[in-house]
Amino acid sequence: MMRPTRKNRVATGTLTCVRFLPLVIAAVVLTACAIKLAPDYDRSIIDGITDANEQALILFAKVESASLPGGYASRADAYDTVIGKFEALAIQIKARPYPRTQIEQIFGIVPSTGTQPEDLRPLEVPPSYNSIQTASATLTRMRDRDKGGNLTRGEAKGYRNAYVTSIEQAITYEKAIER
Amino acid sequence: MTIPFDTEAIGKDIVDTLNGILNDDISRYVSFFKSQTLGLAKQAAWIAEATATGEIDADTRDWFIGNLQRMTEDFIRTLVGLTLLTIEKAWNAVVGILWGAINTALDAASIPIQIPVPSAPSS
Repeated sequence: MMRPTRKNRVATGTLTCVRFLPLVIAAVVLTACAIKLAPDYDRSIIDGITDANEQALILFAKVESASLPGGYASRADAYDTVIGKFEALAIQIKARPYPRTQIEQIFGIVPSTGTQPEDLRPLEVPPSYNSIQTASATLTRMRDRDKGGNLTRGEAKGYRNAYVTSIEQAITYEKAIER
Repeated sequence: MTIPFDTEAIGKDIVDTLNGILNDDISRYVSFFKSQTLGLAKQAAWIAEATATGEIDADTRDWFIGNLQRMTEDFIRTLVGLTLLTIEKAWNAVVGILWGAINTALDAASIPIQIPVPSAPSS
């Protein structure tokens, strides 16, 4: 099969836009109101995530170079500090004002009188809130296993991979809302 | 009185703007999608291997399985959030172009009216 050229891709994209143009214009004419579908960017949140992430990666480095299982006491403070930072960040992210439901903003109406606007919202909270909670739960589980003298180096690899995946989600979203 | 309003030019402007927004966002998020799917696949492979070699017991395996499900849900939520951001940019750009066109036409016809684009609801 022939590989699509850049020219072809642009042409296809243009065609797609043209196809949906009447719909977009019709929808705009219906309401003609600027919309906001994500919370405001907050520099202190991204700074907080960056700082907590640095602390978490230092903790992972300490765990991976330690003689496991054992030695939890030397890492106890680091665990508590980083888990505390993530819990505080989750609260800060959730406390931020969240825009009204998209359907309500775009059409100015709610489709059914029996449906609450909140039920139409695909995201109750910013997705970064869930990702931070998951990252925090991963660190908490690793701490508990370490504290109980059950953490091995092999198991720590699983926690690191899980943590990195979650934190990447949070960072990507929080940076994307800077618009 | 004829109001100067170039609908073809406005339509082209909208198409070009939407193309720009879509192309920028897609190229920006492709590396994130790749990295996430690789991370999730890597974790699934690790769980299978750690279970097979006895590195983790049944309780820990169950925890990692639940955690993998949570990470996958979070990834999908992030995709939805990023898609909504793209819709927001596209919508607001189209509104801006149309309202700008109305105001430009009114101005050209020396009609002293400026129609403001309503601002986004804050909550």
